[in-house]
Amino acid sequence: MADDREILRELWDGRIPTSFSLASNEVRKHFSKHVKVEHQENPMWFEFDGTPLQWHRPLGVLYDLAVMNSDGEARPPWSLVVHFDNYPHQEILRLDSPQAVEMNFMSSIKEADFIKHAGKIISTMQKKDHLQLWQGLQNDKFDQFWAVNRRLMERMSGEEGFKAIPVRIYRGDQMILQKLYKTIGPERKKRTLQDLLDEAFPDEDNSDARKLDEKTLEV
Amino acid sequence: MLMSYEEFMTEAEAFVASNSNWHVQAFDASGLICGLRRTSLLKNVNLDLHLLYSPSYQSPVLMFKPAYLSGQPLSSSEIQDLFSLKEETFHALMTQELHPMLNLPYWTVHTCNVSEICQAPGTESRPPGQFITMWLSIFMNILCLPPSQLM
Repeated sequence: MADDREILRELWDGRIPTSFSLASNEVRKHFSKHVKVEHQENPMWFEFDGTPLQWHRPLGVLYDLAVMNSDGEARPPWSLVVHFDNYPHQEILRLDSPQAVEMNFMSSIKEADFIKHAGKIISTMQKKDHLQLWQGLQNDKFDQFWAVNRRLMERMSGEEGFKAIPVRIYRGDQMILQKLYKTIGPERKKRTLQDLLDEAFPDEDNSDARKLDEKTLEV
Repeated sequence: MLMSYEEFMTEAEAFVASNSNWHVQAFDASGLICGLRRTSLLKNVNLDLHLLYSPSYQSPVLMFKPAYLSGQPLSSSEIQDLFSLKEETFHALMTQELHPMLNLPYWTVHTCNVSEICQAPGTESRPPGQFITMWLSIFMNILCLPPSQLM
């Protein structure tokens, strides 16, 4: 894990330059950099190119999908429209409470641990560990986050590695159905990204690097 | 209790044979990805119930989209009222996610421990379809739903 620290840090520090503009027909007085969800009457939502953003998805995935779907129109800074009205409840997840984002995040973490370790590591964690994980992420505290997350990234004693890799593959705006992608293949060989893509898209030539641009992975 | 998608579909098809309110729904053109679906009306709220297979948890998962007859979706507190749940119980029990096939917001009912309560299908000469019946009846009790709304 120590060797990976540099990569982990780089991923953590990744940023997407974004510009926000208010929808012209909406009230401006609510908009402030420091506004907290519980202080607003209406939940805020973002739109790019006419499409509401799925707030529960990682920003990198959203940005990559935006670039893919707009034929390269989405260049940095990424121009988003901020809305405070007409929340698209039929399309994106609700933000009924300040804890909504945290709960969604923890739900994903639990699901991922189920895939990696049959849920055995997350079940040994206490509420304070979950809180530390969430607050580390929320407050951009790499060490605080990874102090807990590294336990979720370790393999259990007696196991060769994770049971399977928690990964979502997006193509266009659709998430490809999740399957369990095992880490060890036949003859006990460790499987690569190529193997994963071959399994997910058996009818395609996944060795073509250009085709890879059509697919976005969320791990 | 873990099961494969094939085992789930065997259970599902047997269940549907004796529970006509439910039907098998194919989510893709080739009919390879299926789940069970039924509508339910509870106190003027339409529950669009889906019983799907979760590859992550290797077990069934219950998802639903509660909406008033006007089509307007329910808020979290309205759902709590509908099932008479305390806020804490509600948050422990349900999360909103995108339906994996339809890509629309649906509420997922958490299944931690539920599958452990039910035993493996096929063992102890349990007829196919019984597993899902047992599985659903646990939710019936948690959500205080009458059998007519869930079975």
